[in-house]
Amino acid sequence: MGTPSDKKLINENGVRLDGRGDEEIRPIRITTNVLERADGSAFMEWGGNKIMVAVYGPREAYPKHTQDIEKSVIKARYNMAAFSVDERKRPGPDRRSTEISKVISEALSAAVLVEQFPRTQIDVFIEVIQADAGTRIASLTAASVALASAGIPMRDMVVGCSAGKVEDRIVLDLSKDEDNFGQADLPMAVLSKSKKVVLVQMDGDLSKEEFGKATGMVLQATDRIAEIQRKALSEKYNIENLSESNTGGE
Amino acid sequence: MDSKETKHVIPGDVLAYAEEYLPGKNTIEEDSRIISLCSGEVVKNDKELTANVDSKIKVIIPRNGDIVYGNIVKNDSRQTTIQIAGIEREGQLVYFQAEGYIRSVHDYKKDERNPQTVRIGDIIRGKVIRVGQNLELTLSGSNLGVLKSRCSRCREILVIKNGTLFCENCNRSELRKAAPDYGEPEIEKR
Repeated sequence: MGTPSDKKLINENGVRLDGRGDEEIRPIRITTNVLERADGSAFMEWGGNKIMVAVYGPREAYPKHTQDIEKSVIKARYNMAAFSVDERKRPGPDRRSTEISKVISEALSAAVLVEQFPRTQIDVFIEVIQADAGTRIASLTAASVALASAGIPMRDMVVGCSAGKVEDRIVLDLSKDEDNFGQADLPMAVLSKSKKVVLVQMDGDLSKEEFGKATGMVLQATDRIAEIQRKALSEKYNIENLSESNTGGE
Repeated sequence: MDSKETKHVIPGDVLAYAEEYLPGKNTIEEDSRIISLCSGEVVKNDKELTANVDSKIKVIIPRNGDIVYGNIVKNDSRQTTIQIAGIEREGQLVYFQAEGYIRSVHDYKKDERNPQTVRIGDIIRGKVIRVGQNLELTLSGSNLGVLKSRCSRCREILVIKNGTLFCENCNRSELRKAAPDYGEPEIEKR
């Protein structure tokens, strides 16, 4: 949460700065297999967020002391480009990106069948090209699609959304201004079908009732986002099938 | 008897119940339900009563006798380590990453004053002789060996001259176990 501001984030008609209602999410577009040399990849546009994810592996874990004899280790690296925010970000890892990388790795480990690949690592490289609030959740949602496009066995897809408190109202999918000047932010990710929570963080204060309402809104939104994930994976699959049948006919 | 459904599934989708089918390829059983583990098309085998998912993703599994391409990253008297970057499949080069090693490099010794027949940075074509945690390779074979190499003194690319590898910059020759198509490898890329 940023410093308090006089900026009116919700007008008298209950409409937010970007014209959305309380339970509306920003437009989402996911494209899969955008990188030729990665085992799996995805490009996600979520509102103003533009995120590229590349997945490599499972491959032998290096350095060797990071190997787990019983399971694969998911190594996610979240990185924001220097030009992804208004004011130039100093390149390289920092406290925030190290933390986000850790929570994303843990969230993905809950979905991937890591026990099938002992002593290996699965690299998930996340590059935030343009940031506009909610990048950790967008990254996680895109990473899940990239893992599925790489053919890595997963129990379920990971899908997330953020909710928050802006001018004493609980709203879904905070924009940059709402994130900076709102009262609370609650990013949350779940396994798409089982609704098991794999990531929940909170910045600011929410009462018990507000927390319940926010999580309820997030859970409803994840169904919609999961459909977008499904569409992205199916589209690519249909295109591949089409090109295969064309070559077969020649 | 396989019946292929046109239905596309993603990880987590329920394909069938445990009373109807057994979990097959790319599926697991969880809470009496057969769940998809990857994105693909549902294939139900009504003879074996298995539910499978065809992901169309081809996984390359190296086997003994496979021809691989890579470059030397480490070389000492006991072992040479190779970063493998490609594998031959049906006469074509396919992208494949792994680590390989050659154990007894001294087998190729011909000159005691210059025992190293491969050096760091060389691009080689090798044959897999053992599949384990890493791949054991060999360079023994008429079509195997170094495909491209640099001079160990000036890093100029070595050329074949009178049957040996020669640096035109330093006017000296170096010993390598060169492949017959050194310099212009015959590889079809896929």
